[in-house]
Amino acid sequence: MSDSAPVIDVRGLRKSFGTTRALDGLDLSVELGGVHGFLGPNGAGKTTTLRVLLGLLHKDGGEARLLGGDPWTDAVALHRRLVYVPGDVALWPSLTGGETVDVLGRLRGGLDATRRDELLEAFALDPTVKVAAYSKGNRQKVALVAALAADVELYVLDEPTDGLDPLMSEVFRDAVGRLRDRGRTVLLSSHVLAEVDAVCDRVTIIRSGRTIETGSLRAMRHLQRLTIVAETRHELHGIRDVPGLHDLTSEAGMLRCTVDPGHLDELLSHLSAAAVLSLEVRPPTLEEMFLRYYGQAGA
Amino acid sequence: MSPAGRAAQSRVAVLARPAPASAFVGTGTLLRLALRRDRVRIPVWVVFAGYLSIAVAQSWDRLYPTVGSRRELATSIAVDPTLSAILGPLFDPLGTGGLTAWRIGSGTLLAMGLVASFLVVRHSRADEVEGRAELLLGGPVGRAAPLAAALATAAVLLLAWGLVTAVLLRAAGLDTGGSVAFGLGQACAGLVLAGFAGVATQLARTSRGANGLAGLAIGLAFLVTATGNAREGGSPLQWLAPFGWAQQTRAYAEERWWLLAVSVAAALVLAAAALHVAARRDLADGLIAQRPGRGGAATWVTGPVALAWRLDRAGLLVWAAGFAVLGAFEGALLTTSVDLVTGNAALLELLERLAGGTTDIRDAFLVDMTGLFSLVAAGFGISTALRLRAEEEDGRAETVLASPRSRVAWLFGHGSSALLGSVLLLVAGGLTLGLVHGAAEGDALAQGLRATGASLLGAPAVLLLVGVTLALIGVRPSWAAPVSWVLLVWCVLTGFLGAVLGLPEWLRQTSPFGHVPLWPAVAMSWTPVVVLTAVAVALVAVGVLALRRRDMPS
Repeated sequence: MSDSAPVIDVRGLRKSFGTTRALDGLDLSVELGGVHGFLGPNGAGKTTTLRVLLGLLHKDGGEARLLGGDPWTDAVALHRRLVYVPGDVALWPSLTGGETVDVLGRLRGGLDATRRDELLEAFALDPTVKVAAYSKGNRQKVALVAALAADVELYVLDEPTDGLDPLMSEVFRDAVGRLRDRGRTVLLSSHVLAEVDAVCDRVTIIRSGRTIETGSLRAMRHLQRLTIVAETRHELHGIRDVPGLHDLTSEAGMLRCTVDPGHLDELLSHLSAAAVLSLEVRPPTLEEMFLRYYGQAGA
Repeated sequence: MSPAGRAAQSRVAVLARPAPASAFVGTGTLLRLALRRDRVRIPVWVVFAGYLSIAVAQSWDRLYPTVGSRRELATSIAVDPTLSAILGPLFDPLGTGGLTAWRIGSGTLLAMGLVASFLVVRHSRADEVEGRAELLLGGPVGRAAPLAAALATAAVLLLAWGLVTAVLLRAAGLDTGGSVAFGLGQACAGLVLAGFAGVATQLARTSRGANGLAGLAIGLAFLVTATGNAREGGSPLQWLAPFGWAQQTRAYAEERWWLLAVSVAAALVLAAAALHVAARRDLADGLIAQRPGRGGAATWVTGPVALAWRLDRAGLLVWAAGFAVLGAFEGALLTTSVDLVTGNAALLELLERLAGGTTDIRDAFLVDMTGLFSLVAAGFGISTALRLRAEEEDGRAETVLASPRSRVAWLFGHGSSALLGSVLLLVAGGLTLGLVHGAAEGDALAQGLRATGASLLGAPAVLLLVGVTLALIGVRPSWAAPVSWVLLVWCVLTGFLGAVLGLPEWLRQTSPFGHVPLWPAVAMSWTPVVVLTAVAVALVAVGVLALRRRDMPS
């Protein structure tokens, strides 16, 4: 694989289950190195996409390449170079947590014992407890320890912190940060926006089996409306004629609105003409971007 | 094209997908994992079966010490089509080895087939349903590896079972060649039955579905061989199914070794077909297309009891259909038996003497057949009652109990379908038996009612066993499954092999089925019916009272 080729390259991917169309021309491109967020509401097709990339499901149409190979026919060879943590972690109830980590590691040809013990310690996991006695969060930790103890090129994590408490989510973020520092690639599906905001460099947002936006978080924010809250000494006249304003409310010298990035300058000259007392300019939160993409603006 | 046509086409398309490279990587590791998970279960079955085979082998010299007594035994067996159908031909009535192989062969193979099939499903489809397969296949594990490991685990179980039996029979003084032919013949035929389960895991999407399909295939294979055996002198059907291949191996009587190769070849074909699909289908998919269900609940599903019946409905219908098929088979067999015996006065006299005098021979056959129904119905009842345990362990019980519904209502969910469902099965089996037999005799209705009555007399004993399961779910939930199943195995053993094993009478009477009135073969006695029913009611009451006092989930 050349350096320029993407780690994951999905184009026009389609997959149906009976009459239900789960993926309807989805695109996803993940570059080498860094953490890529894969965002979408429940049922958008995140897990289906990951399962096609893992060769667990056979695509109906479109292109899907993973680490330069075919996810279906080269599944085993590709899986030596990646780890996967499913969204719903199910384990063997009669094995202990430690046994499970080892079995999963041995399937890949063994794991680094030091790293395993460090991670067990960091996640505060007792390896001698049987899986049947673990909570959902602890089962999740078992799978994460097994995955993070592996040294591979790609880490595919489906909703990895679902079920973890905030403290453990922090431990997870540290671990992912270290993977990024070592030049590894992480694909992280999530609907927890704060998590994506905290660890991801780039994101792909999907809805109903299609990609609706992809790029770096910073660039995506630049394309988004800014939220403005301003207080002026004088009445604002003709503010409604300024192009690019939305969600406008203006009364008693208080202005609230959102503005398209290209029209910020015109709005500011209008405001300064009315003598600004205070001004707050806020880039969009991921939530706002998310809601706008899903057509629920103003929610 | 119709939706059904499109669905069928998409199923076929799955088979034509490109073969993935290295579909079997990781099989060895998964095999070791499976053996680790079954490290108690496998030795227990092997040792138990081995003990049983030598216990039976050692009983013949005590029960039938002389050549004369064995000749008489052979005559009585030869004229009993029911016995010949179920156990197969007796090739060497004079030798201990021949008698042993004949007596335990088909029953043991049935047990081997079911144990191996459930094992295959547990290590393949069940792992997939529970989501563990996703974790494995997301690693460097080939798509067909879990099934390959499951089949290999079943092969380990069956070969250990067969070889240990062979070694123990040899140690008990039987002929070496015959012992090996018997043990391996059983093991190889068992591989075919495990192969059925392998295919079933690729057809069905659920563990229950796969277990059901495998059980159905094993039942059909058994019926095919039994039908072949029932005809006097045998018929080609004897050669069509694995039960026939095991019987026709003729252990201890001029062995036909080549039949082992037939079994192995059939097992390999089934395994190859199943693995072909496993390597190509989607995760969690099955070749039987999934139909969309209804958009809302039926109006009658209003509480825990109705919910449980909704959940158990499909299973109960399949079991009832199975009982109807079994009943029809036994009905036809009863007609054959009666015709054969009544046409031969000397035989009739011999049989009536063996049966203890005045009995009508038709009624003697009838109670034997309905006795089988009650043991199988108890299996249904126990497995249905144990769904309560699964509900509790998987957390679904919490959802129901967090609603304003009592624990008692929850218990009577699957509890009521276990109790009433097993009675329904007895009716289904008895009625079809009587109708099919009666149709040949020209009095379908009378025979139908008579056989239904005989079959229903087993109900109190069945309810008692289900009652034990329900009581344990209240008192000691973790014991419910193992104790219930061990108890059923005990009842089956005392019922079928009690005499052969030489168990003392009091020990045989520990089985509730030992107290079931043998009407119409013997005059009706109501006392055991009342006592067994009272014990069953008391056990259910214990379950209810204990459940209200314990932690949930325990």
